[in-house]
Amino acid sequence: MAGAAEQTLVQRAKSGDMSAFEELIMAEQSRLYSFALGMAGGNYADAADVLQEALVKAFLNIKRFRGDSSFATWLWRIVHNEFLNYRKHRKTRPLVTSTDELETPSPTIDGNVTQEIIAEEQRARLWEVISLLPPKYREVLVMIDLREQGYEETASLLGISMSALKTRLMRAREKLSLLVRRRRKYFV
Amino acid sequence: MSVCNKAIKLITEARERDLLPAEAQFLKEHSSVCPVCAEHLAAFKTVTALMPTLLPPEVKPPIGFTDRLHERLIEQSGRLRWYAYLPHFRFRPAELAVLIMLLLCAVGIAAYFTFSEETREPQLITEQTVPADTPISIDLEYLAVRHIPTVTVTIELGEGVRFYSDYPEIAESRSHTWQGSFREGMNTLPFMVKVDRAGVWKIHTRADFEGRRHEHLIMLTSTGKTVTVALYRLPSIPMP
Repeated sequence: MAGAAEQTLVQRAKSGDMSAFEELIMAEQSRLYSFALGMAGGNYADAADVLQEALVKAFLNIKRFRGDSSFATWLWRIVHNEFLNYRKHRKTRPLVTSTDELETPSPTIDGNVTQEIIAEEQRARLWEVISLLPPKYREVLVMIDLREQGYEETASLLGISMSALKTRLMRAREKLSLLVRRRRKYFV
Repeated sequence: MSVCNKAIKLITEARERDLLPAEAQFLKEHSSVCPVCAEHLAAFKTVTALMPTLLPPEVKPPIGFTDRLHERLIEQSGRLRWYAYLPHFRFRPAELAVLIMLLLCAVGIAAYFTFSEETREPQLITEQTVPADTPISIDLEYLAVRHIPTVTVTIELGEGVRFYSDYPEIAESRSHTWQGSFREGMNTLPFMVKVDRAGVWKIHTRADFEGRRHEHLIMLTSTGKTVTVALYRLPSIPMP
């Protein structure tokens, strides 16, 4: 969204114009949702809850937006903080509640379908493992490895330096690989 | 750095950069003899392959999300009307601590004056019962620690009671103001009233001097035959 148009919408939203606020968030909604989804360990319901709470907070606090960063960046930070708060108060529902659910698929199923089922189960397991990571590691993985966001943009959103981001990303990948290795029977 | 740590570091770094031939050779040789690092390498490859498939390329919030959000915003917009227009300040922790201290002091001072003066408990000074058909003599007493040249005393009668005086202008009035001075020591201002009928009646007096107001409340409880006169003193307050 062009700077002047965004500024006008922000001013209108600051004066309580809800439609202006909705227009502002519309452009970012999908990107924010995918981030929330990553942070929620692939749990769609949690991601929608967190995003909704964050956007309501953004609406209530829009007067605090001073324009030091873009409106999108400001929104991202609110979603990010909301997710950290959300995690404190509620554990993410496990995607797979029992390891027994991951039994070998029935051999009578067609080979391609079987492969797809296995891949789906591995994805579910991987989401679960990602959810076990501390938030600071999870968020860099979500932003860079899942959402393929740029390093500069990510560092700016998280308010850390590029070198700090790279170090954090390396550690996040190492920890994730370690967790996957410990659950290797599910990833064969 | 141990051999395994070096291998794990290289496995992770391989995601970011092309390994040097020597590094790649080391990793290959070490993985072939170290089952732990071989598993780590396999796990890393699995993760790297699965990660891009976790999120669909275009993720959209669930159906109804926008409508639900719209409803929430409408619900909250009532709150916004008063909330959003409050000025927003940002304080550092130290500034906030000072502000809280100042606020607490202000609340304390306000509470002192509020509770010590505005919610004053009357203090009973004297109580006596006299016949209802005789005039009642009431003495207002003020202790002055020094000569006070300017004093204003006002007596206001409530319903059911009247001044008893030979002077018609006093006898017929509902309020009387006296101006004069107090000498050092006890000063007494006597006045007389008459109760007209049975009931509970009030007289309110105030004496203003040296910037403060000194008040009395006189309760007259008449049975028709007798009147019980209770004289109360209220803690002084600054003159309005």
